[in-house]
Amino acid sequence: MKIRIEQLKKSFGEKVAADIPDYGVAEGEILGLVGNNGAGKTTLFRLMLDLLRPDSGRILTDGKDVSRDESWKETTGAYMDESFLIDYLTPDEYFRFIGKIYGLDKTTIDERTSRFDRFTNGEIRGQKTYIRNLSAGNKQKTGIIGAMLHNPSLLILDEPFNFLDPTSQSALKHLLKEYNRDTGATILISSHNLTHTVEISTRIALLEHGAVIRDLPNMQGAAETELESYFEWKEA
Amino acid sequence: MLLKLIRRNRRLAERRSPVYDKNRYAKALVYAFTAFWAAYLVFVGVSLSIAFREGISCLEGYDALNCGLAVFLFIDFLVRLTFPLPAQEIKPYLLLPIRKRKLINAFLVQIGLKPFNLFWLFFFVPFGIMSVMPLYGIAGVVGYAAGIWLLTVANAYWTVLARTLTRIHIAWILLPILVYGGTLCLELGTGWVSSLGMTAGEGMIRMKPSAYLAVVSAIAVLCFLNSRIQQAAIYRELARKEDNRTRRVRQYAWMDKFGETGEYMKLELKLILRNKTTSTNFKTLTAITVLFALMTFWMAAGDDFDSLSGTVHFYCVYCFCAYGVAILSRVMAYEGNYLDGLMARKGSLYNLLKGKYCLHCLLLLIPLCCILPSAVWGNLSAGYVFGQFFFTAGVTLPMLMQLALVNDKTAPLTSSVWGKGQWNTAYQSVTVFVALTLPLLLNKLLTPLLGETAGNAANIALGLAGMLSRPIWMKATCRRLMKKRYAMMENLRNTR
Repeated sequence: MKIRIEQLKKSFGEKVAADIPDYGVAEGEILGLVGNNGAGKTTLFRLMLDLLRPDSGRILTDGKDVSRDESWKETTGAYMDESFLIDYLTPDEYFRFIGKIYGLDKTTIDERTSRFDRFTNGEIRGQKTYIRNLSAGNKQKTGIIGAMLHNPSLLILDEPFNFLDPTSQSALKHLLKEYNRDTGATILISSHNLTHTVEISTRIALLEHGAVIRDLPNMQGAAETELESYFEWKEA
Repeated sequence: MLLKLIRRNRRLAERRSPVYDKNRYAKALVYAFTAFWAAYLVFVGVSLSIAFREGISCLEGYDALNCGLAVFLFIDFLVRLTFPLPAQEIKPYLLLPIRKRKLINAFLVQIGLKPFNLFWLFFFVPFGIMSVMPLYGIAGVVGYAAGIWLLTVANAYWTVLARTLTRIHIAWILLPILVYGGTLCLELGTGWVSSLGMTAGEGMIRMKPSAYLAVVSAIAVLCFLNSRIQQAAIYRELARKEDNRTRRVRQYAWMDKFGETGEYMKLELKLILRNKTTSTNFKTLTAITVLFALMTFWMAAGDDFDSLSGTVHFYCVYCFCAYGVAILSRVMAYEGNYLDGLMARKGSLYNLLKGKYCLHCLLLLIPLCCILPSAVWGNLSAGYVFGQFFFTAGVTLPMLMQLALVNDKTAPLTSSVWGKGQWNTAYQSVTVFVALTLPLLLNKLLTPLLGETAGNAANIALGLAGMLSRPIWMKATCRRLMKKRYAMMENLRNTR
């Protein structure tokens, strides 16, 4: 799925959260969004998911304005934070609910969730525990699986490595790379973890005050040096 | 110094509650609610003193009331069950360089100084002015009020002690059961408790030092015990882990036949049954519905049905409206907890509303089953029952669903029913009021105009029209909701 951002602006009072005149993400890319706190990464994702109204401009997925046409929802999967989870369901019920919305039958849902068994380390499927009682890491995993369940051609994950133990972080990296390779899906992730972002992204966008200040191709980790120099703390 | 700091922090916590930030009416509502209760207590105090004066000739009014002091203390005990315990509140202060005993003692003193301990005086002072002052003057009223305040403080420490012990081990629940059970047995057997209340009350009115000394000694003993037990409870509270195991997960597979709507119906049913706020609401309302239905049956089966028909009709309307008024009126407010996730998926809003509506229509079968016996074996007209059933399904529920357009504050799913954030806007209160009164008013209007049978038929017709036109009004609601989705989502997000 291709994404085009045109003259996008969003402010909260005086604070500019998004200011992107023109930007595009090609089909099959893995784009990593990096930036300090308040750079506008989450706001940009929310705008892409039509959860926020832009002050001006628009975002097009496959040529369609996300705020005017809902067809992108069929082929987009996203996990932003806990508010994406229905916490009084068990993980299995949540997957079944999501699956049914996308027209999947029980067998398909079971088959698809079983793909994530290594990632979940057997701690999610079959558990008779409501999501609200899961650990932060397992909630994160539940959300990520819910986002990928219907094989979306656009996957948006906000800080997906948060709360995950090192093994799960590594498993997630492989999972995302494999998913991108097998399905050709476009993947957008934001993260404060530069190592993971550099490792999996084909391109990295560096955000500051809502604007993309650097657009870095990242074949063989080429963006690493530039990112390190940007984020290095320098004594005044 | 420490006590001052704790009190200041508590006041700030109350003043800066997020609910007040998001809802400018909330503070006024809390004040209004408190003022209402204060006025109500004054009213009861005055009325009771008049009733005792006119109805009981062998006892003075204050003696009659003092006989029931134990009952008053039991009610106070029940009210205090919702208050936090010192061991639960102490956590933010534990790492400060202050001795734990000093901290606990400061919290205990703070319990004694709580303004709530004075709240019952709204009842006792007016009662005293009416009953005590004619005999003992102002001094008698002051002595009585001071004594009641001391009793309330002692009761506060007793409640904290009993609750802390119960949190340490559930077997300690036997302590209050034994105390109150024993008190009741003692009273029934010997009448000693009411005599003690009468003696203590009169001692306070006469300002006898022994009366105050007895209560102050009880406070001192309770404080000492609390101080020891609270210290032991701190580590238990810190290490406390709620039992989160889910013993039985019901799937409601029979709803699968309704397709995608069935999924949302299941979601609504799970929302109602699996969250503290909604499940407490549901259980309480079911109990009230059954109770009202029994009373309806009793009145409908009696000979004087005609004189009671107004009450019967009210009970009937209440039973049908109860779930909608209490649960459906918070449409979108509960969903605010996870709406972002739903909105990022296709067609979810329409199906969500449809699922909610269909489930609440199904829930109407509960009051229908409860009320029908009054029509079958009593004098209540079956037409009226079915009229209310269809009217609720086709008019009241759609009206309550319009609140989806104005409810823009997320309601917590795990707080108490009267907890923070359950009341959204003034529209919610008005709609609830209309939902409960409109059917009664319409009945009053239609019956004289068309006759009872035609009036009931009109209710059925109105209800069926609302049910059959469901796709039209629901799509219109959904369209309007989509138009204001950004503002709604932002508000719901900000009030989570």
